[in-house]
Amino acid sequence: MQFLRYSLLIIPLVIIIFFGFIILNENNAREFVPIEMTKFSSTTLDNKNIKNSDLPDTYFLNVWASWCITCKIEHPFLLNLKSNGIDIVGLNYKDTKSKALGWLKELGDPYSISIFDYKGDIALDMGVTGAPETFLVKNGKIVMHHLGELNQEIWEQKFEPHL
Amino acid sequence: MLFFSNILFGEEIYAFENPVYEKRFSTLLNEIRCPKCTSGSLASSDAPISRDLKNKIYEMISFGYSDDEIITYVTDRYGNDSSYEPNFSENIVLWLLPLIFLIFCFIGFYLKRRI
Amino acid sequence: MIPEFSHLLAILSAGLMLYSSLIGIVNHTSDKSHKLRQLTHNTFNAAAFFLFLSFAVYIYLAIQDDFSVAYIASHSNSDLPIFYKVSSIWSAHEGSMFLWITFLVGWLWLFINHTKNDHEFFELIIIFSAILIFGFLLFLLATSSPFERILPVTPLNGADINPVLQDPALAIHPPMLYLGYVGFAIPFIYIISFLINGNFAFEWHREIKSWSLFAWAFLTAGIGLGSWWAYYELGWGGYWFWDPVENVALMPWLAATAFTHSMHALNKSKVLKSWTLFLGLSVFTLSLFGAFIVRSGVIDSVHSFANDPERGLFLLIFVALITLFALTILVIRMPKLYNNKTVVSGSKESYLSLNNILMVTSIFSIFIGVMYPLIYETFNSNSVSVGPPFYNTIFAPLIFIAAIIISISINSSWQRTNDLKKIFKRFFVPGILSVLSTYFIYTSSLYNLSLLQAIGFFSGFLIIFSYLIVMFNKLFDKVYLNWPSTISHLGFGLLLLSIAANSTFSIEKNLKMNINDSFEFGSSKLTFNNIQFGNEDNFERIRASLLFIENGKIFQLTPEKRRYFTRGQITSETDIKSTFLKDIYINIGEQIEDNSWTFRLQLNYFIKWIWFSIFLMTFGILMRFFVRAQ
Repeated sequence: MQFLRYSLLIIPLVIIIFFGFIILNENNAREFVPIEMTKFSSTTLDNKNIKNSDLPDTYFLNVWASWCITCKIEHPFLLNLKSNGIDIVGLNYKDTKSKALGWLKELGDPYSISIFDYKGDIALDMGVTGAPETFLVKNGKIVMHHLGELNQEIWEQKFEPHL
Repeated sequence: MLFFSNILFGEEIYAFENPVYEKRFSTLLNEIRCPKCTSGSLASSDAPISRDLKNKIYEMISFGYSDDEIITYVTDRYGNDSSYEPNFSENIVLWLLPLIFLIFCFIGFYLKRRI
Repeated sequence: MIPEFSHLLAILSAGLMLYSSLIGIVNHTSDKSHKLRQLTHNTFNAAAFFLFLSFAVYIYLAIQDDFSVAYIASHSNSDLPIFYKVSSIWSAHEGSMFLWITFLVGWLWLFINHTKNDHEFFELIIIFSAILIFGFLLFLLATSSPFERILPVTPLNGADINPVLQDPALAIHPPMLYLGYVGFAIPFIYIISFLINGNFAFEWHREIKSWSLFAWAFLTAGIGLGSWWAYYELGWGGYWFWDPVENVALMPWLAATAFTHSMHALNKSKVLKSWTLFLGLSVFTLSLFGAFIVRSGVIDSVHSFANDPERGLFLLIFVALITLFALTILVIRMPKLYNNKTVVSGSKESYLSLNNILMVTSIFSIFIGVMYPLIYETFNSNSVSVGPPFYNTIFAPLIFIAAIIISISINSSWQRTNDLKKIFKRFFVPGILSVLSTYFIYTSSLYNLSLLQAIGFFSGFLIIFSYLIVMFNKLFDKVYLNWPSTISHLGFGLLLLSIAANSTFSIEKNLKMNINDSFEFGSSKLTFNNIQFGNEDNFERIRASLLFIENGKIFQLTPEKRRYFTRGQITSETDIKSTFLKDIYINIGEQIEDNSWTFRLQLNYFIKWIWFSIFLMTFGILMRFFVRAQ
């Protein structure tokens, strides 16, 4: 029973050191677990039908909306990507067609196609919580999912390694 | 009060015929985390994504998916921490520790009642 | 100028506390002169007085809208009613810390001036109280000062506080809770002094028993208030979520309950010496741990104050020093505390000890539940959440066993083995009644009862029936009945029952209705009559009018949605109408495409019984101070 006494002291000490460690430590990035890309059948902003089998094996997908302020901020970067030959599929999320098309007309269209996900069903199935969010789909699987604004740093960190 | 004119009827949004389904639905809503909130279950959140998820879960129950399948659907997309119930086999230490502690205390107490 | 006055008073108080402790230490280790002891005591009293004055001036500053004080500017506003100007003081970290310290000084000052002051370690009590308070004041002034000024350009008006915080229950909840937490600084300091002093024949528990019970009452009420507020303000009809912040408030309460019971056993049978001392230290320690978790931002929660690593580190070191100091003293002294008496098996104190173990296991379970995600994330690139499913599953069997032991222990005697046959005979009646009642509930719920709910019902019934039978017997015999204990335990039994009943019978309906639509279910009908738009001083609102008719009784429901101008925040004001058995609880959702509105209607059964049972638990203990035990 001797050691029991000292454990009264040692256990709290360990806990305290652990908390110190947590406070001083920056959060490490979470590893992303791939899931199957949603099998969808929908329309695009210019009223054409589209299914997920129409899309290439590998593509980037960006979730956006005209009501989304941060989307405006990341927009120039997306145009930049397009000018570098990177195809981006747009997923217009819970938006109205007229507002969405107006937005693209005013700011420019960085997307090769824009899927019109009015109710957000496709987005829900992909694990979207809002806009903007960017995905990389490879061979029918979502292999990367970034929440929030896309910029050079994030692109290099999360997406470029997959190219 | 207009008793004899046609009374219009409101609808129940998440209607289940089977009360067992209803109970499953409300239990699941309390056990799944709202993906966009700092903390809190789907039941306690009015965020759009919560509403979407509630609709989805309602659909899935109606289509006959099991509770496990539904929880897996959510955790696959929104992270492992979307479920407030940690998986038993993956986190067996967590689940069994209270029991081990209890037994340890009982044994300790029995052996040494001079405390 | 006045803010500086308040600031200065706080600094002065800190200085005098330090001074008091130094004189005390010098005196204690050398002369032990009475005059110096008086000086220590008087200096402490003076320091306390200055701190009270400092806080009083601060309240004055808040009422007078002194927005040159940064904290008041960011948490108050000239349009607030006075009550909320004052309560805005404890709406965030610095101010609530100030309140905490004021209460700490208050309790310790009361205790030091109203306890026996002629015993050996009275001086030690003053010394350690002074050191503890000095430490807290140092922490406040150095890292979390509520006295920072915005100069030379003072804002004309403050920011608006979160409308969700402008609520009477929420205003009272922190003070009540803090009174509970810091009240247990008394046993904490008393025990440390006792241990250092070294005379272990001294009956330390007699002195602090009443103080501990009183603090327990505050803690119980404080937690109850928080739950009650969550129920009627947050709008989802729940009252406890096993959120990390709720959990760290519950742990000290469980420890305090275990401690007071353990003290009782120690008092009656002279066992559980070291154990009670350990528990006595643990209550305040767990409160400090709770304060750390909430204020450091280590765990995300709706409730936590902002994340600040530097402050978190300071708080951690501060809490660590206090805790390790106390535990070190206990560990050093423990060999001398070995008891010659053993716990007699089958005695009342043995049952009490068993339940004590159950309580400590529940504390341990909550603790690992809170820590586990943190530990998991450190070693995995993934994360995990621990919530109600875990806690409910772990608590159910613990409560089940505890209820049985309570039932057995009611009529048992101290210090001797109670006859098992007699015990079984006495357990038989309440046991059978509980099983039958639970079965009855099972049928009432249309056979839709989960195991956890059944355990809740059975445990609640068992405790209630056991005590009712004792009370019944008292009518015929001159049986000894401890009324405070009986009422508090009945309250506890009722709590278990109400929680189980609320979980089992409550109904929720999500509806969409157009104006003049009705929705019927069972023998009830909800009709949506109209919806109004309007403006108040600081918000605009949408108010719906509905009629809920049930068995001929009519209830008018007017739930609201508000948008506050200052922050654009949207809140939903639930309307609640209560009957004896249930609350009719309704929220507006929003308007959808076909111009209908969504509503969430809940019938929350037995929810008022939950509040009543917490009241009973508190009332029972407080009875002790007004009524002599028969």
